[in-house]
Amino acid sequence: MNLADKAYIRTLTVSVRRGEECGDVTGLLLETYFGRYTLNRDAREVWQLIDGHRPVRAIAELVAEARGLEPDEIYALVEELCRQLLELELLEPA
Amino acid sequence: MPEKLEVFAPSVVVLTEQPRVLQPPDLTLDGILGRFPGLAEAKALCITGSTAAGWGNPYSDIDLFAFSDNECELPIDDSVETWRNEDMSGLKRQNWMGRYGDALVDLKIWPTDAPRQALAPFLGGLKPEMTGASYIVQDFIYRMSIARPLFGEDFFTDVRELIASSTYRGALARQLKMIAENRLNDVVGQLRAGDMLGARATSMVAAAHIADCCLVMASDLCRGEKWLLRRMERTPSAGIDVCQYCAEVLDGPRSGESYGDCARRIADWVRTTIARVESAVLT
Repeated sequence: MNLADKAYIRTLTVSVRRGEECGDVTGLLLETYFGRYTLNRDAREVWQLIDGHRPVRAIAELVAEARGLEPDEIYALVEELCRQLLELELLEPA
Repeated sequence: MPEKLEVFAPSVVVLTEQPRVLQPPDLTLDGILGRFPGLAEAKALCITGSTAAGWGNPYSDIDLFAFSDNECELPIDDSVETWRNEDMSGLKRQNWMGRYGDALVDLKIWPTDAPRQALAPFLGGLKPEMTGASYIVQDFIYRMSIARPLFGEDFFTDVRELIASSTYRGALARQLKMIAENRLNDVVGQLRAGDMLGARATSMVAAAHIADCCLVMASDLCRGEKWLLRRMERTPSAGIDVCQYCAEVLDGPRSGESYGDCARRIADWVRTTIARVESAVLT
């Protein structure tokens, strides 16, 4: 499945807490009814750009620009993260 | 172009995975005592909250209230948090929150005199104008009023009679009516100041409070804002029809109606409702 041109949004059942709660001050803790998941700093940067409007490719471009990287260098990593978040039902199609 | 930083390596780590399908837990006494054997020593045990009200859903906590003057041994595992707290009136409770099958249980253990303690300001001829009770106490009284006993039936019957014989219901209704009236006063001020946005929002707050007042007068003591429409449906004797409330209050401005006119219309509905119930509320 190619996610590049698709936009996603967090599912309604997700609560997001600061990473301090699980010992990573730069990351995030995501909670659902039973589920608990941690995002590291890089994943947090992606998560915070997921807004229901930006396609995955645009998110990769923004992260790349902020990091001084070429989008193609990180696109596959951003797409894989989004795929995992979808699989875990932390994201859904917008 | 920003300077290149270290390697970009986003990751998600699963600490606990959310089950795809949630199976409802066994809410029989045997099932619950299987998870909480120590509760067998309590004087009384009930299910309360949305499950007892019939309003539960797959994400609802299972609310259990136990009454005991002795320490009950409770299970401890990775899903469990326990703590104790005390309301400003001195009402104490022990809390246990954790997993039971595919549900979260919110268990509270209260001393056996907790109902009498919570209702003390409203018993023995005392008739305060307003409740003055904290949210914890108000919520406790409501949850006791709808408790579904698992054992200790007589205890819950006595508590229901205590609630009915107390002056709590009237005090709470008077407080809600006063808040509705204060909000109406705000609406008038906002309209005079040309604050149509404020007036529209405030008129809806006034409506929610007078609806709550009517429900409390009809002995529906629920304190959760999210249940307002379900309460109207459950308690028709409150005299507020769900469809009418939605049409008058929640549906917003009608075709061609300004925000200010919408606020005036809702405020009219509120004061008509106040007039309908005022005599009973002030008795």
